[in-house]
Amino acid sequence: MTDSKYFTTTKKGEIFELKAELNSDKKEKKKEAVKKVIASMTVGKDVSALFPDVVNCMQTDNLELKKLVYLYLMNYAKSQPDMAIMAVNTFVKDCEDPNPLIRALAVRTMGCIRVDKITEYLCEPLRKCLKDEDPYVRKTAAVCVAKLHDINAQLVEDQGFLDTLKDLISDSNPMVVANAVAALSEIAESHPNSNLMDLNPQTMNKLLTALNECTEWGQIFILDCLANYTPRDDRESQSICERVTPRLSHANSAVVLSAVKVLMKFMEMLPKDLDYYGTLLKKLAPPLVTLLSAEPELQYVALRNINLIVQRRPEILKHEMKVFYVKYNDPIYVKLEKLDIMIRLASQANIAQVLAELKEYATEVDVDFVRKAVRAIGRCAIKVEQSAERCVSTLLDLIQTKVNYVVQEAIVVIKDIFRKYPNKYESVIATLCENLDSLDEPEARAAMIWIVGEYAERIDNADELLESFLEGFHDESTQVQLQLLTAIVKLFLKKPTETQELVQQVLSLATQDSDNPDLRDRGYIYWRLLSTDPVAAKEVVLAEKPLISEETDLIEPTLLEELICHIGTLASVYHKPPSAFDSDNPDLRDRGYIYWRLLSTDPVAAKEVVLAEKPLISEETDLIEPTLLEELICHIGTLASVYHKPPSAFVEGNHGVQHKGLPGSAGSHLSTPKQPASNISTMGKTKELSTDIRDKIVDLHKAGMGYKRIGKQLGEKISTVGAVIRKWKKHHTTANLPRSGPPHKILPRGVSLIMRTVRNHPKTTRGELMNQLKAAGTTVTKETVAKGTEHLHRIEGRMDGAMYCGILDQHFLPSVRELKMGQGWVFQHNNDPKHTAKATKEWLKKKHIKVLEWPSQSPNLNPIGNLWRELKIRVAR
Amino acid sequence: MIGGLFIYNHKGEVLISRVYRDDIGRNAVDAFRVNVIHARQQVRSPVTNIARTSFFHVKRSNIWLAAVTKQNVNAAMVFEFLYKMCDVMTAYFGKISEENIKNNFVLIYELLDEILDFGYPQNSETGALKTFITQQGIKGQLQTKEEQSQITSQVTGQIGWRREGIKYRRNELFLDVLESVNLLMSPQGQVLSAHVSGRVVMKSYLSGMPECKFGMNDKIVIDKQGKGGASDDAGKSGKQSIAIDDCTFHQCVRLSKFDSERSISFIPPDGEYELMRYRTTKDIILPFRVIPLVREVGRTKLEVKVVIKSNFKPSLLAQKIEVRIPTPLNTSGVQVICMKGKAKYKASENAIVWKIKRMAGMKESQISAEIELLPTNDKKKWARPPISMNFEVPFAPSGLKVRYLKVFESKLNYSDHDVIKWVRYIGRSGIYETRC
Repeated sequence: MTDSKYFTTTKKGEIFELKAELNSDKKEKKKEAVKKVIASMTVGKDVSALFPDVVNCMQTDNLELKKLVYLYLMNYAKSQPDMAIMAVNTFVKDCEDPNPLIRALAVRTMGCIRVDKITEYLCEPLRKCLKDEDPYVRKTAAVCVAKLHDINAQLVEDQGFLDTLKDLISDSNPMVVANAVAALSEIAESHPNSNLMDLNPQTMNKLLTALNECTEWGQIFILDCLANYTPRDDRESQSICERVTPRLSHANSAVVLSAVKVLMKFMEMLPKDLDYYGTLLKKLAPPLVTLLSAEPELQYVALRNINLIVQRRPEILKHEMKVFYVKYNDPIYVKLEKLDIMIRLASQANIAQVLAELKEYATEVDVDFVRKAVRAIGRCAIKVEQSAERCVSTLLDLIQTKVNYVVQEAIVVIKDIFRKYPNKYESVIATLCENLDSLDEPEARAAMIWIVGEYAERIDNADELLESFLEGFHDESTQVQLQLLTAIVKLFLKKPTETQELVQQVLSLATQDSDNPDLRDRGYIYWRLLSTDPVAAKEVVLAEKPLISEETDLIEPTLLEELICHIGTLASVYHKPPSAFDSDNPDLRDRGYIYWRLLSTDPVAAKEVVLAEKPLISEETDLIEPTLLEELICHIGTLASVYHKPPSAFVEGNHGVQHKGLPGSAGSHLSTPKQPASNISTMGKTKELSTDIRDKIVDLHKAGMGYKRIGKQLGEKISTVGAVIRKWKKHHTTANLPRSGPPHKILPRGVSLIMRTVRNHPKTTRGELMNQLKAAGTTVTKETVAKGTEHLHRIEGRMDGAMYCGILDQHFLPSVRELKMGQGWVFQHNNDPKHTAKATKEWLKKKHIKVLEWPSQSPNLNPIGNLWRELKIRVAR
Repeated sequence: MIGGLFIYNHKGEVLISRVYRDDIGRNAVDAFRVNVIHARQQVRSPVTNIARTSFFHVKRSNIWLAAVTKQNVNAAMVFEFLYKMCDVMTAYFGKISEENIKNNFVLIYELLDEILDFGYPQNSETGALKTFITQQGIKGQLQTKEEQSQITSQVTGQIGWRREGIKYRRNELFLDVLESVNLLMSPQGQVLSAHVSGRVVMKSYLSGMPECKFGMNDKIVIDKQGKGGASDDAGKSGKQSIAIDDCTFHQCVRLSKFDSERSISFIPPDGEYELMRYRTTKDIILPFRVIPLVREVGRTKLEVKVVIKSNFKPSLLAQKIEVRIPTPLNTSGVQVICMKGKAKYKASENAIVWKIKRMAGMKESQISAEIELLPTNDKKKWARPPISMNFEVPFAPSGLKVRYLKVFESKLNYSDHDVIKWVRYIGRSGIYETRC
């Protein structure tokens, strides 16, 4: 028998059976029972009721059984602190065992039992183990200090464990050193000001020696710790660098990345004219490139980090562009990151290749990736001035493909190119305008409107274009509304005569009909400006070079500026201004109010401030803020460097404090998340249960709870709970099942259309109906239309001729009448004896029903006959 | 550090759950299932942050491994650990499958207890683990005191990968130089990027604690020697030497010695292991060239002609050649004619697969196909995935040659000459793609 049997779902009363087995005399049976308990624990069943029985099994000389019991203890000791005390004796005894493996096991497990009373008993054995003769026990004890500190920091300090731990840094065994370093680093983290890890040259020396000898993981701990050291002078930092560089050839990518972190940090101290500095830079590139041949998950981590490194020291990888070319089979997350780095590395020297690659990517399948590739082309144009022309023509090529999202993305980037190189590429505007209708995303629409407003005087039908946007003003997103407002004002200032009406319209739309404060504010600003001093407004345009109408930049949240201000927030993640996803945008409103106040109190000053020459946009659009970058460099290889956020942004503040629950907690209905996607409710129906509630119901059911209790706990009806569980039992899933059949081809309206037509003109052919439906917007085949049935009648008992006549009388004739078939129809039935009975024939004759002749023995004349056979066979089966 | 480790099957049922830190609750198990496994979309990132808890996940066949943490951990380390965990499990019970995991769940818990302590990875060398984590728990009692201390010193010691007192009657070692050639070529035959990632895998059956020294035709080493030696010798070896961009080594190699002298010296683990990995980009022998020709005939027909040319010594034979020519999604029928091997259109994979069993060097072969397309009104163009190729050749495309592997064992009396050594070169295709 194999162990997988323990995972099978078991019946009720299992706990009692287990209890009996646990207390059995037979060793084998005991072990089996413990295994069952562990399996149930894994699945999520509550087996804490068995606590005393399991603990009783602890006194055993079977190591495997012992480990299983320990595992159970670690899980449930906290819920049964009083009972857990029962185990202490065994632990203390095990800590004295002659076998070092058992000593270590005991001290390791004891540290994982988070019960205050037990920690008291832990101190003495731990002290002994920290000084154990066996390195295996010492290294386990070192970690145990960190565990104990997590439970009771004060106790660790009072007992002087910290000093013992510091002594372990000088241990002869490298692994003990590594674990001691790891434990100390963790403890030091929770006491930011303490002088725990006082790294002096002596300890550094010890650590660097241990670095060469310990396991790969130990090397990571030591390197991560080294990164916190601040060398006294450049000599020292050079010598550390020299001793760390060999780690760059380690097979473990984490070791390599941690070494890179240390080197990046200490390089800061080195004078740049030093020969060694150059050598070091050269040495850094190959290992970073090698990281890209690791598994995709590691590649992702590496790429996120390379992204930072390239920003800090672009010279390291400037010749390595080729390795960042995207491969067709790369997972999407690797592709997107590679693209980012390609842009960062783009320079005049390699721009031709990069552009060719980007163009290739723009024809791929994944929408996000394609968009990013298009955007990248635009960023190249902004970054490398010499390539701008080529980039623009590439973008135009892409627009010609007419792939909707490519076009939209291209327009957004072309807007940025215009901002960087005003008056250089207006020739493309005509092409852009051709695609006006296909734009449906706010960002692209806003960009297009900006372009139209910006170059209004060059576009003959600018007013028409903008007017077309104005029609659905209230359906647009705020971003587009604001942009439209600005663009029309620009247009008005350029062509005042023809657009007076338009500007009136947009101002009233923005100020009176809109309930969006931002929009209203901006509307009023313009209104006041235009109505109080139209000459000044015009002068502004005339005085300045007519290229950039500064008004747009007044309130318009230029994407770039926004992104730089919001680095690290969701905005920089989405590459969209917060207003696109955050309806209540305080920044924008505040800015509006500032302008308003400024304009109403001191218009002259306002003009100076607002109309000041704007700097051109910078080359790199989404650089990480320098201070953040600095911090992230110190965290190379860690999670912070992957998220590009400081650790404080995602790490819980206090250690050892009870943490907030995650969504989906079993048992407590408070933390149940409501999944927005699954909560879409339709009228008249109650809300559909979210999948995780359904999962939870099943989990609880598996844990042996009844319908009633589950229902009470989750606040759902018993019948609902029952339904979910029944479905799970039958289909083994809680997800929505696929619908049971194809959806109706013809909408109810279409059906009534068919019925109406047929009723009024019974002789309409299927073809005609089909055409009629097509005109109404539904395309179906003839066969789909031709569905109309007469009444169905259930026959009881044996049927004879008389009965058949009765049926015909009662159902057949009304059917004919109902279908409004008039006179010109023929009845068809087969040669069944009752159909050919005298009574039937007479009846048909009497009613003047025309019957179609049916040659005997010829089902082939009636194709449906073949189907009946099939049906009969299936039914009989 | 790592707060917990969970293993799920493809349905999202937990097979193994081990929590190391107090900040990870049972609910984390559900959160991952709901948000990642049941999300039913492509994984957009291997690190997922749900309610301030980070999940690192990898998938092996249809088993999910997820490491959970709330702290700012070393991400690369967590992934390396997950791979290592997979390796260890494979070494213990073979393929990672739901069945195997359920059958060995006790063992897995035992392993997890040993190699991860409070979320800190400890010794994960399979060789060392196998000495004291066995599936018979009774063994613990039978060990003598010496054996026990030997185990612990091995687990914690400097040479964690080898135990003392290994004896073989025949001292033997096998070296496999395994390379995979990666290529990305433009339709015009221009090499966009090409690199070889190679591995030197060693199987050692050596007695005692042998000290080994490994040498290859590394340009830096040869040039150094060339300077000291005769000048004509340098010219000759210069041709044969190769420039290695970067290399990484097994735990056992003394990295500091490599850094200073560029010599590779080590005490090898017993049995099979990967001595080094390296990467080269210069002077790669591309074993095959793929020349694609795609022509669109009207809207419903596509003509594809692909020529492959082998580019190595005629005496050598390439094996297991497979060319995969992607076809559009709206393909209705394909007619193929090939000079050599067998070609088949696989509708489910949207590709024509052309297989050739063997092919000698300096040869050429051709396939031509007519692809009939269904007319579609789909505006979106076909993305034209690249033509990919698989093969195996009996030489190292990077040009790497093993020059020597010397074995010294001072305590036992066998010398370098008594060791039987075998070397083998295999070049395989990595991602070998030609755009069309």
